[in-house]
Amino acid sequence: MSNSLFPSDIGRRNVLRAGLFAGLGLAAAPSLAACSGGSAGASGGASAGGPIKWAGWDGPPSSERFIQLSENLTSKMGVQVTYQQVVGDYLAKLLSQLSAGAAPDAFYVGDIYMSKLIETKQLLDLTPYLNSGSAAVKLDDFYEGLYPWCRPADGSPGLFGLPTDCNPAVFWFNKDLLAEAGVTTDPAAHFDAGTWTQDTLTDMLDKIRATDKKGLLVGSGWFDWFGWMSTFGGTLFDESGKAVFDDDAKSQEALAWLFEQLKSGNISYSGSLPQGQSGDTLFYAGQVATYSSARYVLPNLKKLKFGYDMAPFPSLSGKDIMPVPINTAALSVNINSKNQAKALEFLANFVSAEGQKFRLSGGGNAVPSIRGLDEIVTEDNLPSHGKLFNDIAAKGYAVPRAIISNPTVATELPKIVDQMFKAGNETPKSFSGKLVKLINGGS
Amino acid sequence: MAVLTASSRTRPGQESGNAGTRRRRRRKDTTAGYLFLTPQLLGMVVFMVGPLLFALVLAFYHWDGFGTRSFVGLSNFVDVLSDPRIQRSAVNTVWYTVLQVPGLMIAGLFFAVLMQRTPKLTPVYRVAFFAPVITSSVAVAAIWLWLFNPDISPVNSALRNIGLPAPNWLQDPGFVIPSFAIVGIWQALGYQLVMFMAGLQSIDRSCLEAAEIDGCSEWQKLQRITIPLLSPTILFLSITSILGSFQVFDYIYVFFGTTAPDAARTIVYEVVQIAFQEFNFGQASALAFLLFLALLAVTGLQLTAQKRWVHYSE
Repeated sequence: MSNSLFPSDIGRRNVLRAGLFAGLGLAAAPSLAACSGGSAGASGGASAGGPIKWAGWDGPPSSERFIQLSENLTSKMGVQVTYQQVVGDYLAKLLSQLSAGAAPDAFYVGDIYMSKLIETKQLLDLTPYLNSGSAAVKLDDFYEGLYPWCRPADGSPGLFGLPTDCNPAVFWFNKDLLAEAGVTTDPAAHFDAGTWTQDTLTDMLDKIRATDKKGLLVGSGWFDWFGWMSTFGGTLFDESGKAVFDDDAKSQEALAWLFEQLKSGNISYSGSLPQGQSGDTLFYAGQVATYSSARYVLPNLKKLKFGYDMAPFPSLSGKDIMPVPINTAALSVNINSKNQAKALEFLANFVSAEGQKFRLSGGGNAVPSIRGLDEIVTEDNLPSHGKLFNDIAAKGYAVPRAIISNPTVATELPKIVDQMFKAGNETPKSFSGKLVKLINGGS
Repeated sequence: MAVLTASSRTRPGQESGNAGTRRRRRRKDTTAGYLFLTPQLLGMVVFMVGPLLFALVLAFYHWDGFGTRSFVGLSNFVDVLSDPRIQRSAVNTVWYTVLQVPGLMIAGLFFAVLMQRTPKLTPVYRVAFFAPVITSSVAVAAIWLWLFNPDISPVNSALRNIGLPAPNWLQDPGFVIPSFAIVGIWQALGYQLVMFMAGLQSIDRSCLEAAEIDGCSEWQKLQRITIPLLSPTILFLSITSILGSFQVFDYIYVFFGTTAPDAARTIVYEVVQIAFQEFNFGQASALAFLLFLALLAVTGLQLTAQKRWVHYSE
């Protein structure tokens, strides 16, 4: 009987050696190959007058709606419109396609890489089209805070994408847990009564802390904590786009309140886990009574047994809706598209009132990016105060350009915030000073 | 005495004719072989070798993925080597390897030896242990994300119930890499187990029986016979495990997305971040190439060291 793992006539050492080196090469290949892309240049997407291809990162169920919308637009526009669903890493695929000159005619653009795509002239300036009067949509239709990030970071003119829809930060709450904690008036009722203030929230969090549940979570992303300064009157950026919240009195007061709540345990740091994997889970599991997030949690909340509703963030006055962060994505047109006229027509139809109504109604998880579509957010009267989504979107702001114009800032900001929240030894001044320095390019 | 065979009784002209026929046949076989290999080779060249070489060239350029590339010499390598963030990620990667590879091998060997003693249930256990291997890493990470959530994790509840501290697995800088190692061990255990079981089955029973007759205990048999005869398998698994552990990425990406804290970042995570979040493909390529060199060196060391401890019974 042979004791060998491999037939001895082949030579086990040789086979092992050859196999290991082959394995080594293949194992290292993906990380090396991941860095390579095609060379830049080449031609554009569709041929003149030909079909329109567009891409996004959404899979089912949104992709089913997108495919149906593409079919409708095929009939309306008279050219074949096809949705290219990207399975896997959307950004990596888009960059490869752009680099190889094989990108779709129109595509979704996320906040992190919008500036880079504008800077490297991959996107078509939409301004002439929107000013032409022939567009199915006008810039004035959109909420003002949603598209500044689609402009060049250096302040030069141009608009290179339109927000497809949006998701403003709102204050979700679990009615059952609030009742268990002895909270008799919920945040939405307080807002209706004009008493939804910082003190009201603090009082509510104190009561929840007395139970074994968490009151509220805060994360490390800009979306998670910028709102706590702006909702209490803080000015985060000046006219020129520079971060100023280290010198702004209201921002400092708001941060002082946030740090106090973190210290007392009224608010817990949820860590640096991405959305959908930390706070959401705890809120769904009934472990946290309130949750600052967006409308995208609604489809999951509908499946749960506890009572829920939403309110705007509290304000100093108790009755105002103050500016809060909004997550959004844009649809842009490939500058190398050979069918730009149709690509622009497609874009306008996609983001128009009609397009958003088609995409977002019937269980959608976002808020329209244009005015006048109240029926989407009040659908089935869930949540009860859903009508406020549009009002909050009208006041909010998308990711500040100072953050996304520098990839290092965008990637370092949540890391530094994570470190400081975990260490728990920063003052509002030192915390904001370090971040402002990073954002304004000081480090 | 020479024996004349039919083939040896050929005339010189006939001999060269046969040689020519053999050569032609060999050429034909070789051509056919290459033809069969062509699709695979083409795929390798286009999708593996080409990008590999391109990435290597890219390591000497500054390139954001779109514009023109500018030659920067070795500065990408210098930047990468002097960046404290990368240094921390390298330490994290090594720490992960130190925890995961020995843990995996000890657990693999332990369960393989146990399963060898329960032959009736071996197929059942083998399937159970192997299931995570064929499960996508993303699905595995999603499950562990729940298991690592300190507020709702049954793991933490169990730890608390037996009086042990329940860590905040993914948020405590001291626990995050051990958490990855636990997931890595859990997912890869099935493969190690199958390999160890194959190795154990190939050990000559007569050696073990002779040892028993000589009065060896179970531990002595394991230490003096089983492990030495398994050493080729151990070498193979240690090398492939180290290669895999140096490239850990998918769990981290699912756990943290693009915002992993310093304590959780590894080299391949940095490669992806630098390339696709910071748009610095040159630096990412330089880092990937350095990783390749490090793996080459580690593997070379292991192959050199094998002469001292690997026993081939051939």
